[in-house]
Amino acid sequence: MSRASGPRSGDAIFASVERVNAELFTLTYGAIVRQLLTDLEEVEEVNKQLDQMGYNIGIRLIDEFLAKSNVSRCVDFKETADMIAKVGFKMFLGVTASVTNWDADGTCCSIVLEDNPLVDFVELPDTCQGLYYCNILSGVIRGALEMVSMKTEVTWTRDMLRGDDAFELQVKLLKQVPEEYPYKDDD
Amino acid sequence: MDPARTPLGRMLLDEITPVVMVLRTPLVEEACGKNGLSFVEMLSPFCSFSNIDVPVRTASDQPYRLQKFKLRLFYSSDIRQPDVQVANERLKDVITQAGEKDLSNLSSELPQVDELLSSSESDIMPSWFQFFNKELIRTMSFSDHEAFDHPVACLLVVSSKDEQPINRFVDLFNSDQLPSLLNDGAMDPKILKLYLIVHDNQDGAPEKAKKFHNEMRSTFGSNSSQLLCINSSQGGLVEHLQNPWAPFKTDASPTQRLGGFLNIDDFNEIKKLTQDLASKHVIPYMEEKVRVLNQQVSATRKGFKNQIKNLWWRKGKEDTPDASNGPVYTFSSIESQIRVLGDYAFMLRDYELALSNYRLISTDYKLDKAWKRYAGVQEMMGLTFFMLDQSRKEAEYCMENAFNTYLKTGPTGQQNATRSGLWWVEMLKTRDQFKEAAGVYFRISGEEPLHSAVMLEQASYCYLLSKPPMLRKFGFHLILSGNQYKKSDQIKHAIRTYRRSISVLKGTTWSYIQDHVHFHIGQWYSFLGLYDSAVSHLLEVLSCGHQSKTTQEFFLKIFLQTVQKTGKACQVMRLPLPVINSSSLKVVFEDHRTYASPAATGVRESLWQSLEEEIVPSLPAARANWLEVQSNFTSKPNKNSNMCIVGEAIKVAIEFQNPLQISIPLSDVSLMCELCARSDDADSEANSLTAELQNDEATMLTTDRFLNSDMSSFALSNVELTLEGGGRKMVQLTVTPRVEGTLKIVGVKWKFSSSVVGFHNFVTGSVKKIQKGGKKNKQSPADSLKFDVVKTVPRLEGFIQSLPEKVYAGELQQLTLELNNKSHLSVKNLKMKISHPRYLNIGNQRNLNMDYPACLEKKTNSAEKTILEPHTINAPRNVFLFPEDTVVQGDTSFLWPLWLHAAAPGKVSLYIILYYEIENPESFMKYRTLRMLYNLEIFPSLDVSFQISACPSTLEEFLVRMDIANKTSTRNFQIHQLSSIGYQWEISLLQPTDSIYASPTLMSGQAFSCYLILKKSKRLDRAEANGSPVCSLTVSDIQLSTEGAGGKMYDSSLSPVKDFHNVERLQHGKSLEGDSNMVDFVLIYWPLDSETDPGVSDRPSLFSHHECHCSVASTSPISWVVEGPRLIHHDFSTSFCEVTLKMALYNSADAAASVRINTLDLSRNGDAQSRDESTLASGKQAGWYNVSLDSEIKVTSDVSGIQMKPLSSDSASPFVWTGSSSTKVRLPPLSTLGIPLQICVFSPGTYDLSNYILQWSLVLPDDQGNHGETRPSSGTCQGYSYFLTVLQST
Amino acid sequence: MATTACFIIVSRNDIPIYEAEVGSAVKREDVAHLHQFILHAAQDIVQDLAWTTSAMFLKAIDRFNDLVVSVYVTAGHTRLMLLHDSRNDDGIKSFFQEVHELYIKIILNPLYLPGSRITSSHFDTKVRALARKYL
Repeated sequence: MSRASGPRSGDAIFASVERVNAELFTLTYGAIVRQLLTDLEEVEEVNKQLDQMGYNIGIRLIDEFLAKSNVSRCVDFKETADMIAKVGFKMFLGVTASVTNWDADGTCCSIVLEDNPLVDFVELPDTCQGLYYCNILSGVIRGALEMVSMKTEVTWTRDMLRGDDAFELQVKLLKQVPEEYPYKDDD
Repeated sequence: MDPARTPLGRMLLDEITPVVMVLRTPLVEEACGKNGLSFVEMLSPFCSFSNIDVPVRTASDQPYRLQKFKLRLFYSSDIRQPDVQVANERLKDVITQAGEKDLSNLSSELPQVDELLSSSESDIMPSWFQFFNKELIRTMSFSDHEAFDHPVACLLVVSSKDEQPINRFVDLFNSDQLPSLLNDGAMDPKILKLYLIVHDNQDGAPEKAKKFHNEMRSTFGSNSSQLLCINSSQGGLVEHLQNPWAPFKTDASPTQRLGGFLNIDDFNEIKKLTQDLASKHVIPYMEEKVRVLNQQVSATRKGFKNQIKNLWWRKGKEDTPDASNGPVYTFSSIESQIRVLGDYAFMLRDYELALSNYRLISTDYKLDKAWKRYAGVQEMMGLTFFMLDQSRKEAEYCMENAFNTYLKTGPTGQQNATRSGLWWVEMLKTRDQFKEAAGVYFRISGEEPLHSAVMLEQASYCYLLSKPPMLRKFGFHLILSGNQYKKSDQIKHAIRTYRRSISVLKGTTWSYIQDHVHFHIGQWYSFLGLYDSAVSHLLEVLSCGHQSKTTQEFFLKIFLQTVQKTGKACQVMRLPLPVINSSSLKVVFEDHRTYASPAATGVRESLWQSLEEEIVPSLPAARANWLEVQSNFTSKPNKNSNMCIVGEAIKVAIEFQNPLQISIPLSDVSLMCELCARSDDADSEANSLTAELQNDEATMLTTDRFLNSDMSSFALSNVELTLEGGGRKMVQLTVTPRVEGTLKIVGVKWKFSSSVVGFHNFVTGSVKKIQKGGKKNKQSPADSLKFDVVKTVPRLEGFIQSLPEKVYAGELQQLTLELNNKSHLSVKNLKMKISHPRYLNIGNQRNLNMDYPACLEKKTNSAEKTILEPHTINAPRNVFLFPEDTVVQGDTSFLWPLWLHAAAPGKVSLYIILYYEIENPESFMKYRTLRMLYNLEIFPSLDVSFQISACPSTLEEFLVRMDIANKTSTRNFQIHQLSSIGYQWEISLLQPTDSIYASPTLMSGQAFSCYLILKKSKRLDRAEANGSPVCSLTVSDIQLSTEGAGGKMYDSSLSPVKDFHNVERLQHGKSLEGDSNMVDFVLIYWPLDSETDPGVSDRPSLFSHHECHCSVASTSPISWVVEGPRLIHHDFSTSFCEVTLKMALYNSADAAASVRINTLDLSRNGDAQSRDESTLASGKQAGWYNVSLDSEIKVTSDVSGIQMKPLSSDSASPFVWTGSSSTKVRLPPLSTLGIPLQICVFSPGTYDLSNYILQWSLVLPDDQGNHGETRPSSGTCQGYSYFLTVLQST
Repeated sequence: MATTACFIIVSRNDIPIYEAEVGSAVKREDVAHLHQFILHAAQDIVQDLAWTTSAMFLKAIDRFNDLVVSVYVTAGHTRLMLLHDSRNDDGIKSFFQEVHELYIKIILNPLYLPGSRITSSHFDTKVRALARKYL
């Protein structure tokens, strides 16, 4: 884990990756959500499902992420959160997020998204109150962090679709399973 | 096509024909009167000739022949503008009659749109439109601005009975009784006269008449005088098949026989008379006149010179003061002559001639601003164009022009406009320009409501007939005309039009339109007293959420009034109020699964099943066996119909929703059920019933069934409620079957504002949620509402006595589970499972009648530590089996103790499943389960944390720091005792209790910490002696508070505490046989103050906090201490001083360790320094003296390092380690070992003997590598500082 | 500003999915249905015209007494209809265009079922604002 080649900035990677039309992307995601709503009928179920899908994305995405943005191993949760916000979001979503609201023992913080391409045009109808439209994101983060052995709990604390002024994801570190390096030294 | 054949053409050939003025003596009328006819009436049928075949030669020289021709006969008295009022009255009557006629089909079925479209114009339109239009046009006749109504000839009729007929003839034609037209000079008084003498054959032979006739001939000229003999038949009984007069006598009463005295010769005479009236006199006369006029006109007006003159002359007339209609034209004026010429030509079908003259005159009138006349001419031009069937644009232009010009002139103009409009419309229709026609209709619909109503309705049909049909316009104009009809209170017509519009507007989602139409129809029906149809229409508007509140109230009021008027309590299958949310339908029934509380039913089935798994015999098996049992009873085993028990209610929850803003009262809300007692025809009957229910139309039928279906077979719950505006309510309904059989929940019925009974059929609406886990998808809704009622089996009702909703964390309470068996049968071998044993645990029988918490007190108050026998630590059973002999007899209740421990703050819902079996073997169900759900909210109370650090001074002693913080806002707690549970660990106070704590109570928000010592109990050796390395857990208690509970101690090794403790240990995911380096603490405390916030239980209770697996081995597993003298007096003069020390090593690891001690020969100056570095780096030691000095325990090692520097620096006087410089020993696990050490001191002083290094490494067995524990397996330690002072002895 | 202006959006299957009385005149119960009738009837004209022209804004296509119906047909045959008594075509045109933009946003909302009623309050306020601006 050498910091020889420092992590590339999210923008650099974002610039390099191929793009897809934002609206197409947005609508595709919208279609997924809509379908889930029709299939599972209950908003709660949809939230779960989205989160699950996100998780499945996350556990794959993390490798891609680490490969593309050769970030070095983060020493602590703080750094990890920053990395997600600054590099991760930029790289995959094209937006930068900020990390705030650290609690005392640095196990819980909020990732704040000013804008969010997922929710263009979206407006929650009365029937879908309680839907966390972007719940897939929380899933992604959870999944990705789990792959780097951080058990986290990601919840939405602010949601523009519910009239808040930004999107805020609260990431709470439940427990960190340290990777151990089994070696013996006997003399 | 030939214009003459078109409707308009026929109309024109009818209406625009020569008029013959009739003057007659009263005796003539008398003669005709015998036949119930007037003279004119008698002749009229014979005045229209289909094939007269007369050669005509007008202006042009080549003659042509007229075939169709007609004369219009009028009494001189009738030749004037008819009175508008009268005319309107007549029209009104016409309409009213029409209305009466089709009252019959008001309540008939509505015509569908496609029918309307398919059917032809004639049968869509009411037949009386034609008549109406004709009448309308008639009212415009005999205007002075047009000449075709001016009499062409005058027929003077005298009876042979008159004396001196010749004189009579003369008197008849004196001006005073002539129509104004002739007198005021609008037309030429010099008119063609014809003389007719009528002889009534009943007055004897016609000789006398003949004589007169001869006189006439001599007097008036032979060809202009005629004789007519009538009433030739005696008796007057002549029967005419297809009576020719019928169409002319509108008011003919069938009784009187028309023309009874006229026999066939009379017919012929009349025919002959009229025939040559037309052919010999009228037509020739007209020809003649046309030719004459034509010459005059061409003389004066044709040719360039005349044109100029004419123009100049008219210019000259400019300044003459104009009347509204321009100058007055006398018959002699050239203009009127031209007009006459045109009209005559028109009537003689010489349209070119007519047209040319009309053209000529129209410019003149225009110049003269004689608008009315101008319009009239334009009108005629239009018609002429039409009849010529050329240049449609011209024709329409003229019509429009005429129409507008008429409108410009005054109110009379309005009527003329209407006429020309009608003609225009006809013209457009014949050219299939229905859309435009509709437009014209719309324009001629004046203010007068009735008139406009008819016009609008005709307009609407035009829209319907236009291609493509404009249905919406059709509907709209129907509505408009309906409104007008209503204004002129022709309600029946109004209803008719509205109903027609429904056929178009049906199913539209344009709410306001729907409401408007249905509401008005309803209202009007109720005016007419047809209340049933009224109600059926008013129903449509009931659920009008979009309307304003007032409107809603209004609609509702009207509806209820109408309903009352109907007299009977009306029952409606589709009462739209309130809206029933079918998808919200929940059916809760209990087969082998029973629920303690409604809350429990809400839980997902899958969750219950997962809990039930261990206790219930596997479900499919269970179902199979009751199925086959049941199949004995029913003919077919219906797998997917549910099962319920006699006497046990089936709960149905359905959501009612009020779309209105006003609250609506509902009463008698109940289910509709059918219970077929188990018999052969059961199924068939049930099926037939459902069949009926499928179609909503069979309202009355089904209702009857429900109203008098015998209530003995099942009991229904009856709910009353009031839905606020816009509100929605879940309504709980139950049905309780009383006999076995097949129960069907068909629907729900309710009474709306105590007058209207509404029904809703579940089967038609879809059922979504059924409390039936996996099966719900497979089930069709019908099945899910079908139940097999089986005979009664015992059912336990259970609840937990006084289980609080809110508790503080750590609270330990004793509860009682109460089970009641209502039935007379008894149930046996009960099992029970609790989802969260951490919070709720099952006590045993004897707890039941002990008083708590006293039962937990130790018998001896000593801090004597007790030993938990290994076998007592067993995992809390997943499923609790009640003792074999427990049998809950019928009608008895059964108590069992439970323990509640609020382990961790937060909300937790406890699921409890109780399983029991039914004793009597031949019941359907071998077993049932009772499902209980309790929600618990736990507030944080005390926050306790422990930190353990080894103390280097003494072996196997650890400093325990306990931090307690009171997280509550209101409550104060008293800490009572702390128990440590671990292998040979023993907790003790650092100082005597009272000295440290003034008061051991914690106010809310307060926090404090204290230090305790944890040391190995001496039993260890013994344990090792008898060679049992794994030895039992010991519990040692210390009392932290002096006062309170009379200084009693509580035994944390007794049942509830111990059980919960074990659960806690499991909770932390460690095995119960933790290693010896783990120690658990149990803190026992209780709330002090009596005042408790509401909802929180204030029963006497202990609080216990369990802190598990605090590792004492957080430091290196190897600990040692150097033992030896501290102060030595020695005489250095004799020899150097030799000191022997003993190092005691202890290996706390569960694996053998190899330890090597290296003594460093000389302590260099930097030695201490370097060591400090190392100390800092490897925080493997805890400087234990300094701990108490600083508050923060975490930084101990660093601080100690800093502290030690000065000490070491000043004492660097040399000494040497003697003996082996490096010893290596092997330490078996959990053992101590002594190693001798020796130093030589050469001069008095104080020495720090810490310059040695101790290296250790665990030799781990291969099978257990490290389980990701963060414990190092080897390390190096600096020696502890050990100060030895050597003094010079004297 | 028009005294009477009734704006309504009709889905391609003739279902009104949005209605608003945006006139300055006080809303009267009794005219509500009349407005609907007129607009409803006007669709007969629209369906003829819509195919004849490629322009989306078909000026004033129908009238009833002094009320005029102006229509704007989107490519998806959603019809924005305005019943008004004032005559400024330009204002109406731009009104329609901007509402069209809003409508597109609505359509793009994946949670909005095309052809269903537009309940979004945000949309409503925007439309009324536009009405104030242009009509």
